[in-house]
Amino acid sequence: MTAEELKKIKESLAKRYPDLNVVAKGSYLVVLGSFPVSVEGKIVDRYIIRVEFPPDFPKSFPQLYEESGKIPKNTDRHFDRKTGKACMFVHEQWGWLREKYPTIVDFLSRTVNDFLVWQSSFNYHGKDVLGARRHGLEGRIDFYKEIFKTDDMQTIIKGIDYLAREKIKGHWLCYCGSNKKMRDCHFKDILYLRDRIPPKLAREASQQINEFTAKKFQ
Amino acid sequence: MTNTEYLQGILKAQSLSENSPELKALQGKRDEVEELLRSSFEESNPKIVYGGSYAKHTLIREHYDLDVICYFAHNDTAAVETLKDIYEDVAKALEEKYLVDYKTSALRLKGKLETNYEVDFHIDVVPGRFTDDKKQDVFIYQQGGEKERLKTNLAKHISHIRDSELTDTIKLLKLWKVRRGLGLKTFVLELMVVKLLSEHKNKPIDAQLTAFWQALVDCHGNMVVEDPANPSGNDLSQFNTTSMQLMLESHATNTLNLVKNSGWESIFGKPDDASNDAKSKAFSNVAVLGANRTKPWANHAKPQ
Repeated sequence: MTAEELKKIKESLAKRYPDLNVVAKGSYLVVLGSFPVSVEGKIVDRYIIRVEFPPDFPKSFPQLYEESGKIPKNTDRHFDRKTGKACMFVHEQWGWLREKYPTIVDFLSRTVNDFLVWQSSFNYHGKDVLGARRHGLEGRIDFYKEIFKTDDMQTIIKGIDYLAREKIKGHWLCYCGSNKKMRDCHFKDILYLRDRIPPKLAREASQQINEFTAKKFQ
Repeated sequence: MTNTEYLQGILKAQSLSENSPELKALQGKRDEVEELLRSSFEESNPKIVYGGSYAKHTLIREHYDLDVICYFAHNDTAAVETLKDIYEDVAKALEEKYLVDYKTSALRLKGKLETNYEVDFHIDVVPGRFTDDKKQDVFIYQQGGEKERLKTNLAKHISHIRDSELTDTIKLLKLWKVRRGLGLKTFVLELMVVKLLSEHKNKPIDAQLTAFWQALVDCHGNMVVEDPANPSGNDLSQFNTTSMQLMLESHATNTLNLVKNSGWESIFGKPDDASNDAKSKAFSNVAVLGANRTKPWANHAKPQ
């Protein structure tokens, strides 16, 4: 990143978040400082945060760390205890988030803010009242149910398989179980999803489902 | 609203009264720590007292720590031998109940249970040993420091700040430091404020703040601060470097420009920001909060 590019980022950040600093750390950009959590334009809480933006952002998603020690670093609070990384969203959702909020400031003001509103609400109520995804594979499947608009697991498994493949063909049978060729059924839909979910993530989900199924029938 | 009224509003929002739930919780935790230390070092009977911003009256709600001082008698050998032993033995005792972060001289306590894992209790335990029977000066261990031991004097530190007549200004500048994520020790900031504003004590608080930032701009990296308890020996090298001072100068310049062009709210926000009242209003309307928000997830199953 050039000094000029870094200066531009600093300027855009300073307008929205004057308390946050941005520094280049190797090929990463690191945003750190006091983050004001806002609800309907009103600041309701603050956290000391560190957000690491990878060089290929927004293709890849950034990692958030909470450093004020106000949040327990455990699964219930959506932090990886070993790494301290926040789990802000199911990874497959990134394709939609980056489309809606493509800049560093967007990411902070929407995705990070949403996550910290959830945390502050938990601290305030002593429990989750806003709703979080279920942990691990279950939360992931819930997300696939939403994007495939079905609860039918056969459809979801087939759909994930089509997302996991490097290429798909229009003459293949549609994942929805209609027995129609895909080009005559959900081809546009699956192409739309493939634009947003990398095959690697779909393969990871597929592998988790296989492992879960194998365990269940052992 | 005048600048002074506005800044007093910020101070009020940042104050932690003796009856506040945060301070009561902190004091409860501090009592637990004292009990643990007393039972671990029963024969030594160390002196355990409050230090830090609580004792100096410079606590702010946004970022507060409670220093718990644990000093052993100079001739005590019942539990420990060297300063390093003291530091390590106190840490070991605390590790029974807490996760302990080893800072230069202090031991930071965090939650160890699943329900509070890595939650910061805002408590620093500072072990040390009195230099003699007078029980005034103390040696504390310095992990990774230039010198392994540092002579200090808690009472002098506390009175230097608490009696400076600048505690309100110090609180606001601590808030400025925290909000900007400045990697400057609070102790050093306090010394700087007392040094730079010694001639400005009678001025209104907004004038004191601008005088402080202006002094940072004017010093061009040539300021030297000294520890009143150990003028020649304390390691203030973190501050007494050109790069640190130039960083502060840059932040001070930016702050002065913001005050001039956009007013004080651009530095300290609104007085009711992040207040309990603001939280109560925001978090009671769950339906509004829940709509269209990205839901957190965890990439691993919950431990059984």
